[in-house]
Amino acid sequence: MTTLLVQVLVLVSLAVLVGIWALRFPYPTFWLRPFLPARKRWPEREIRAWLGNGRFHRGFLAFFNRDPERQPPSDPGLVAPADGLVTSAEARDGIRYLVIALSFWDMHVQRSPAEGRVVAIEPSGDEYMDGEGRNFSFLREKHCPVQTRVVIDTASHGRLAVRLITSVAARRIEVWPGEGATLARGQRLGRILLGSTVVLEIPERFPICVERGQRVWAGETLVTTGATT
Amino acid sequence: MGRGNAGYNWRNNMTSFFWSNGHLGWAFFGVLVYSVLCLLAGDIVWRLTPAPFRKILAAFALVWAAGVVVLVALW
Repeated sequence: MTTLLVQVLVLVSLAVLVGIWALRFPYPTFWLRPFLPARKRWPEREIRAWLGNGRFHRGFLAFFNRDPERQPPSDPGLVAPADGLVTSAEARDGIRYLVIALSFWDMHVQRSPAEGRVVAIEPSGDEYMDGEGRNFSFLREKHCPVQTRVVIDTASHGRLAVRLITSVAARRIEVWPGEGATLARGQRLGRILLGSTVVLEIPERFPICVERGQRVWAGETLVTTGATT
Repeated sequence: MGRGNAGYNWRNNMTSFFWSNGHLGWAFFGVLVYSVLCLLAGDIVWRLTPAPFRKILAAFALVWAAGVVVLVALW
């Protein structure tokens, strides 16, 4: 009788596991999540569903809100303002726009690319859109994505700006230093909640050392060399 | 010894496969547990490897079938 009880107990436990697995499929179950890399732990489809119903997984929110310490390199040059993928580095009217796309799984705290002083914080835009970093859409006069441009005066690279841009999914921007605040290189600047795009505006004369498709890390990856051309 | 006896033995063996001495037959119990573990292990492999779904499915079907054969043979 004891043997039968143990067998039934084991089988019921396994049936519960299979039931949970089937209900969660194709998303991972709670016992599997800790062993998966971030992108598989919280698949994009699941995150988009959470965006719709607002019921985010607590583990994902904790992961999303992480804010690790960063150590800027000792070499001179600007550091990346955000974690993400460089999607464009085109120049227009003497300014190079380094577009960094953030995914749901990237660290979302932005950092100052250089030591300097915040001279302006300019919110603008009227739309939440996809493709917010493409074809200079963030420079449009009308129907441009909701964004905040932080203008920084630096001794090393002149006047720079960091644009924090929203998307359909990312709708909130926080900028932490106020106008007139002094910033250290790599200091925390703000964050865009739920992933979008960060654009670094640099005078074109500074050569950049990153290319399209490259991953960069806020406060750590050098994006320009110190010299001017 | 005739055909009827062979049929009786087969039925008797099958019964003891599913049920023996007041509990589930160990082979049957083993096959059930092994099948669930195979399913969950297949799910992990599917999530962690870039291999196509059909290949993983075929591989796990083979592994499962081989496991079942071994369990039944041991019984």
